[in-house]
Amino acid sequence: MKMAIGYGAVLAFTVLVVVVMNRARRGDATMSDYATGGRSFSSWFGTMAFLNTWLAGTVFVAFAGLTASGGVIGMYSLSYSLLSVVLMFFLGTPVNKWGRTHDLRTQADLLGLRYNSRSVRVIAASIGVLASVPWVVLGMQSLGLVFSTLSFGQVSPYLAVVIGVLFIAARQIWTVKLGTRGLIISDMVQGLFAYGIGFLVIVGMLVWLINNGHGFGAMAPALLELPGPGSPAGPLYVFSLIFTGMMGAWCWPDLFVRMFSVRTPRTVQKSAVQAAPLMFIFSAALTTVSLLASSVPGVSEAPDTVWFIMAGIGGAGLVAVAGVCVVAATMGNVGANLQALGTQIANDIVGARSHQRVESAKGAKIAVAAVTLVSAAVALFTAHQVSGLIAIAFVSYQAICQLAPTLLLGIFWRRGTAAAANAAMVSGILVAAVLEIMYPSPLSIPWLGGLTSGVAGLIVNLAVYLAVSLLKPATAAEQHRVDALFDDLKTKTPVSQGAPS
Amino acid sequence: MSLSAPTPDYLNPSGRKSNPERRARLRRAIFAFDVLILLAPPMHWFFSGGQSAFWYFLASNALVTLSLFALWKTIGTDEVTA
Repeated sequence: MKMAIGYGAVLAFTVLVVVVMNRARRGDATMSDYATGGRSFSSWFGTMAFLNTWLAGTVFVAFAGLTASGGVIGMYSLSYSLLSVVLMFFLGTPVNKWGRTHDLRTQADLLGLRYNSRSVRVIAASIGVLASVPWVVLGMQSLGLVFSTLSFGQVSPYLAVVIGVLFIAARQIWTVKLGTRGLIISDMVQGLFAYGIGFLVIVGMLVWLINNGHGFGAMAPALLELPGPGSPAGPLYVFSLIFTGMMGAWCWPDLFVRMFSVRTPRTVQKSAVQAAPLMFIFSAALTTVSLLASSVPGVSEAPDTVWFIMAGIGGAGLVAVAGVCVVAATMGNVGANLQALGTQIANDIVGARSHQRVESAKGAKIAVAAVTLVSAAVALFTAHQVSGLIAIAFVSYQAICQLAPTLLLGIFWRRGTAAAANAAMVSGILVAAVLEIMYPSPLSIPWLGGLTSGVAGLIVNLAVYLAVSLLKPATAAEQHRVDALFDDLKTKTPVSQGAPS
Repeated sequence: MSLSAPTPDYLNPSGRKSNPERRARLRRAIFAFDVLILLAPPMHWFFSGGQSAFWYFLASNALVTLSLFALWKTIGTDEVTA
């Protein structure tokens, strides 16, 4: 009976999401509409699309577990998330305006336009795809914990992973069919449940914890300490964690394209302003619950299950609601990732190779379906070796944040060149990869004061970008073209330079 | 939550025309403040022990959240770009 409640709740929620998506269905025949949802969404859809892409199901599982086991340092995720929202405010104007004027569909598309370079576009697209796939696979596998918990002991952990992977892969049928428009509509439903209902559940948990003697006084004192000077992790460790998260945020292709989907630059900025308090209230409450729950029996033995241990206090019904929150958050992140990766492969790797601007959505749909099948197959084959995949995922995070100097300086600084971008991305990734092998995440590098491999890579990356841009500046014609791009941002009717082919 | 559009210059009771360059400088200052309170290692070291670390994260992130509203208020209706 309990299992029927748990699995039934997930099924009922999924049916609701699919019905809402289908009601809003429109034929997006062109690649541009399929990739950007017609650039038609309002700020509240922008807000929820951002939150549902950013706050994946892992916030209830891995991040909550990190706080329950590692203590207050787990709150670093709140800091880098809010800094990412601040960056979103500043990125809104150039990204949305260039996107609309030049018919950009992906992050790599924008870099191709800014640097007037096919190699920059292909390298950026390849890094985005290769770094994102391990996270998609992990996202799929993370549902195993949900289906295992919701079975109340009836399903083995391995079978639960298989069910989770098959479930999320089947859900992508509608991602493939309906593209970004369907995703953003579903983000609203999923987000309202995951962070709206989820927040109410969190408040209930907080009240229970405080009333039952699980305040700060009950916590182990070590959980309230941050690494500082003289600590094994190093004085710059907390800085590194927050900085890497902030720099990496907009390097994720799935998050970046959300800025193309809303109506105007002002809409992006309004989405950011609305997202900030929601992000703060939800994430602060969840991390506080995870922190205080560290003294609840059973949490220290299995910190990743803290969300479900706490929900278990309310009985099978509350566990089912908690499970649906994780599923809703995972659906948003995995769907956005698969859609962005498929589009990027069709638009920026296959399209750029064939020197043709892709205009039909068909290629992107095939690519999204292919990435879904490959990711599901990898998730099933590696279900027994999750730890190895986590290591690859850590490496991929250090790799993707190496896009940051090329992306952010390209958007805010006129003098960056294609040669600088290529050299910076490649050198940053090489440095980060070598250091990651020597000091695997989440370890820091002792002789760099606690910096992580990603930040060390970023320092080299930035130095190379600046040095090459200044020592080998763009030609006069290229600089004139870039100046025109930036000058157009100040006019109400920018002039298209033509979409990059 | 409703975000009203910033007041246009011609409705500014002081009659002083707001300067886009000054607003841009203000936005950069807010960004620097946000980065400083969340990223500066001395902040992490100062609040590294006991409950102060928890309250530091909570208060600094609350300030950054509020700063987004300040950023929104700096956008002039005459401005096309941020």
